[in-house]
Amino acid sequence: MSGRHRRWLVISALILTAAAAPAYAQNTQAPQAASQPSRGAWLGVGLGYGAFRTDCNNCTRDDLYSSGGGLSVAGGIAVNHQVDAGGEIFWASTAFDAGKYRASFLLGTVQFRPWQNHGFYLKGGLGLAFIRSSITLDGQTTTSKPKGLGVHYGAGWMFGRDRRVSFAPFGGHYVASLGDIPTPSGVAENPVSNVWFAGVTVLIR
Amino acid sequence: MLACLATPAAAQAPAAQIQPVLVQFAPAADATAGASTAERGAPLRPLKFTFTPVELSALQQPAGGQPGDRACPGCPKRRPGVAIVEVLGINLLYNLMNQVIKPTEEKKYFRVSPSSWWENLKYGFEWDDNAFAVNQIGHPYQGSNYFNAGRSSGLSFWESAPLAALGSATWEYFGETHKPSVNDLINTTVGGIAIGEMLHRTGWLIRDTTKTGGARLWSEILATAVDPITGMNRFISGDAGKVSEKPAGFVPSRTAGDLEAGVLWRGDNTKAINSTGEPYVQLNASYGDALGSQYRQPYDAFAVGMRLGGGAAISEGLIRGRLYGRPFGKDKSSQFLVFQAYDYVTNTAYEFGGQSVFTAVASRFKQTERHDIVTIAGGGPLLLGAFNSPYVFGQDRYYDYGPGLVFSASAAFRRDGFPIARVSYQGVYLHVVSGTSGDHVAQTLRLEGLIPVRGRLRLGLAGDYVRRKVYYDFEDDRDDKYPQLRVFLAWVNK
Repeated sequence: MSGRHRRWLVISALILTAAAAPAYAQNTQAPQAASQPSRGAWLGVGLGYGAFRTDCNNCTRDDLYSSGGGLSVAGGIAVNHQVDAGGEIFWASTAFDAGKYRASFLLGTVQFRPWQNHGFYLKGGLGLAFIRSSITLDGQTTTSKPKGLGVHYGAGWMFGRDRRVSFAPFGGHYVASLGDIPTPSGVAENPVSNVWFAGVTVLIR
Repeated sequence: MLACLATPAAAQAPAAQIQPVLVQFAPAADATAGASTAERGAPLRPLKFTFTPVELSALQQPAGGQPGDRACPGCPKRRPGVAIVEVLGINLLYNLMNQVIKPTEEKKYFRVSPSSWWENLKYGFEWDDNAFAVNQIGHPYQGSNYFNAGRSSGLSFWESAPLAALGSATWEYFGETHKPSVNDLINTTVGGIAIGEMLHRTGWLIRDTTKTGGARLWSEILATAVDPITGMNRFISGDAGKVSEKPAGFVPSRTAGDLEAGVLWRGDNTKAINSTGEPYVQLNASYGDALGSQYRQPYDAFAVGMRLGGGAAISEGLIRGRLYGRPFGKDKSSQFLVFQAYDYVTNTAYEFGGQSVFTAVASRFKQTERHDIVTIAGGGPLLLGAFNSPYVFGQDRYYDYGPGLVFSASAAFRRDGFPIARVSYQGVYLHVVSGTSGDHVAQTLRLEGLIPVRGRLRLGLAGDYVRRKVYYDFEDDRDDKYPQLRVFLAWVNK
């Protein structure tokens, strides 16, 4: 599947899910939701689209943006009605004029809903980042697989959160800090990768 | 019903005659009114009750079991929306403050505008090159303000934690024109939680909500100096003048503190100790009993250490907060524990700052009636640590950042609960992701003896040996050794 087709597939899925979510929410939000604490394990699968940017201390260009789709799988336990804790694996990939790039994150995460009667939530995570890049410069292709620190934060809105299945449109920022990376043209000093991501997660409790 | 539980004699009295009593240390005179002498049985003796904080909290609920928007009469109103607005307000305050107090050439970094916001948003994160104290104390303190905006608005520890992250992220994007930095986001959030909860509970230790008049006012003012956001909210809401029981969750099972003053001699990369001593004062305080008390909520037991002098104005700041605890073993003399740790060490030889979470097993071994040995050992992830480096990063940053591992073990030999001798080992592994690429491995061995002088006064002698190896990817490796000797007088309080 080409990058263009994949992009349209992801966007279509997002639009369809976002359109379905309010109707679903109207049907499923129970009035006594606030008084029933959510307990037990949960599993979430998310799909979305993001913008990428990587920069380093001695990089000569800082205007290199690209975009691509991504997937997240998360799971954990409900600490109480407003706090969920767990882990998340997130993959996102992009292709640009000089090559390909894939970012993977393995994170411990915490989600917090400030208001019991609304689905708005904040989310944060910390863990490891695994990058795989294949970049062609002057006809020479270099593949590198650096690992580093992964940081994530984001926000979303959960519809039907007290049902077994719920939807959550969300936006988040994933940051990978990788340390120095040797390249054919020298050492890239302290590269940091940013992935701004928007998508929809389906949660099963 | 409590009176029923309090005495068998009262239990036999007609239910209608039993008056509900909230907390009573001797059965009420009228609890058995109307009952015959035979029904009363033997004369009643005063009874003592021990309520857990959770039970006390439940007892403090208003009649009808509906707590309303307060978890207890002395607790703050639950207002998540206000907390979020306050977090953003704190950012505004810090921004304006920086525009006033910073030198002229630095004011431009705080003149924010929609264009600077957009620049930051599309740029993403980087690592900054601020001074060690700014990143390792300044930002965590700022984070504590965000965190306590939540705590003082009736949110729990875990509910307030994301507010520290929210405050940090919004500050990085919108509070200054500097590019957002990863180290600030982590240090402000995680360090802010540790410092925030420690200050919040210390404020509640100082505050006496059962008093009125000048004593009450001064307790509120002192508590505000320690935890400004909570104090401000209490004065604005009027809670600072209301009389109520102190929330049970903020009544520790015990408090203890040691104050020591002395001189230390430190060597730098040699086995010799420098002849010039550095005077210092150190406070070690503990809130709750991490080993002896049952876990109720995060930070119901924590320890704080702060050293003034000894190589820097503030040369050491440590926080160990219990996030979870579960007793096990024979007589429940051991506990499985989860701690959050905040470390800040800076002196003439080396610097280390870190945010970590570690699991540990603590045990108490009774030797005689008066003597016991307490051990604790464990380890866990170093979420973000900083070690000094001879190589510069950016303009003026001489330290490396990265995640890693921490591991430690210690044993204390005690008489009547007072330590006589302590031995501890601590290890830190840090993989550099910002700075000079490589790995730091630091190990510290500490031996400490405390000789009773008079009453609670002790003469102390301690020796530390710190060894740090740095395995650089592109530079020569380093092997640094920092021996240290301390002689001090300590006033101990268990």
